[in-house]
Amino acid sequence: MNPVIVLSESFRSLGKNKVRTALSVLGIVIGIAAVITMVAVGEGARRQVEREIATLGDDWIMVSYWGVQRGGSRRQQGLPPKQTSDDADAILRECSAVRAASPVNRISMQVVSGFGNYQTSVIGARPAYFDIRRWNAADGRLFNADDMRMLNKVCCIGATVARELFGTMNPVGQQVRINRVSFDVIGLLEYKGVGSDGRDNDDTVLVPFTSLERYLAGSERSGTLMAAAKPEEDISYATQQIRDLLRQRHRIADDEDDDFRIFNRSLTMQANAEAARTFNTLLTTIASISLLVGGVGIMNIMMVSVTERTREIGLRMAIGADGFHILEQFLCEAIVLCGFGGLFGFAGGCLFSKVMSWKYGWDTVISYWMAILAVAFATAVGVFFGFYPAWRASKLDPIDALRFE
Amino acid sequence: MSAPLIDICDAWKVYHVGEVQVPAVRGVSLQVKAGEFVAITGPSGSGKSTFMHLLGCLDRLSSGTYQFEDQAVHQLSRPQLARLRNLRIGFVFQSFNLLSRTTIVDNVALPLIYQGVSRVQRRRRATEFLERVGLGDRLRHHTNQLSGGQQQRVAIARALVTKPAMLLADEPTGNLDTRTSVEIMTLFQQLNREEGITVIVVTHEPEIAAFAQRHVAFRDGLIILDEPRAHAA
Repeated sequence: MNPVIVLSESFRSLGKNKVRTALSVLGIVIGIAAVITMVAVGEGARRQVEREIATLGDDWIMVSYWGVQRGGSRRQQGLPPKQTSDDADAILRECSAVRAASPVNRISMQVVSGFGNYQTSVIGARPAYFDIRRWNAADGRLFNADDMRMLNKVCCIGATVARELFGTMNPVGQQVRINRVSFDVIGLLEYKGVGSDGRDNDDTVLVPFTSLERYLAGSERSGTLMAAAKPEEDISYATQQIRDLLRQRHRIADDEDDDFRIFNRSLTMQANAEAARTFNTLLTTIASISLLVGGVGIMNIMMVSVTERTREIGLRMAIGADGFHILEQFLCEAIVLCGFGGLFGFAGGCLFSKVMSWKYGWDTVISYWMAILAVAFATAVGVFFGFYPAWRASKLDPIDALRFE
Repeated sequence: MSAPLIDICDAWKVYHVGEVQVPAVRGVSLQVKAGEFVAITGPSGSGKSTFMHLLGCLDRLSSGTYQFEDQAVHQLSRPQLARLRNLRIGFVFQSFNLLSRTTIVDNVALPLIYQGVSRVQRRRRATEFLERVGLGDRLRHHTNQLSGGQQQRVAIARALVTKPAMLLADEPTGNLDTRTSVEIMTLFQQLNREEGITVIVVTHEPEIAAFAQRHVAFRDGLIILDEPRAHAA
């Protein structure tokens, strides 16, 4: 038969029993919309947590070399001069889960510009520190390996320091004096705000580690190093690797405690990520169940509505339709039905997701592959269960189909 | 006279009910010439309805031969049977079997869909035949807005719309009152006389059978009587 005739007959046939058609479509719409909405909310939550981790740069590992009490006295009063640098090199070389490591020397100092002076913490570190803290320059540039090697007197300043010393002026290209040594400001750091530890991240001046040691530190030795895990590696695994390596390098016997302390924010981070994952799993489960329930609904209504038309199929066959005509018609009806259901379901899902965003301020991310999966599943179920009873009826002798109760 | 319209020879129809074989038609032979008006009668369970389904190609012979016009029906495939029903045979059922929620024009036009006739043509021809059965003023009505007699007229128009060689009616007056029954039977007579359409009516009522020219009676799956009716009203 002419496909146009088949299609127009399908529409007319679906239009005849509007309630039945609407119910069938509704089942499909609800199933698909539920899945899309829930996955969108879950995916949004996961991305939000990921983004928080990324912007805070809070996934660092800090090794602190002092403050370890042993039986009431400090066993090791002074550190070897290059302990943190050497340890950082060793960590980078030997710990497979670590992507960056840097010795850190943090000293509180007076910093003076042409406009004022300000007490802040001056941090000496390698360029890797920016990667560890996930920090970029808002203006100018970050110092690099050349600056390290040449012992350049350059610095990058945080937003708080820039405001205190230069007001609204662009600090890049200006000079500051740190402990009476003149440094060029080569970069303004991105605004980072107050960290989860309550410290103002932007209240700092960063200088190359070597320059700090040479011009500013005097006898103050670096007692800290910072490191970051590779993105695909677990922070606690990286931490364990660092601990094992440092114990070995510091020649600590098995029954002795560490002569350093390792902090990381992995517990908080992991808790957040874990919560997001759980939430996501929960929503995905609910969504799958909705889809399943939707599928059962679609199955029922298609089965019933096509089965109750067995007599119609019998009549159509009696007056000259062969099995192929019948299958063609019912398949076409099922596809039209599921197609519209899928379309409305997709639109409904997007709409609900938006409503969620507005009403609760949640981020929602429409997952297109999930949408495709949901639409495909609902359509497959609808078409199969719309088609199967028609196929069964078309195999009957017309007279049996006509007599069907 | 040329070859008969229907030539059915030693027809058997056996149903399988579980392990048991139930023969409904047991070796029936019948010839019907074009233009005849035949009534098939018999008590329920006599095999007359089964026999009519065989005649109408709705059901298949278990054994025997069936020649309809120039076609050996017992050798045809399902799609060929469907095509034969569509082009050459018109059916009228006891329970009308009209599509609900559908206008009577669309109901009558239904068989033409399977001939690939365009929508405009379908409507024109359906309208023409509805006028023939006296329902020309109700084209836009839905089937559930009509009386039983009117519904049966729609069914007759649907049976006629493909200009078939034969009209098969299975208890066409079973759901109608006496006066309407007479109207419907008169319509069949008229179609038979004026159009030359072969009409075969299955009924268990002698008054209905009396409208036909020829009377075939069934009992226990066999023809027990086959006689002309000279006194057809």
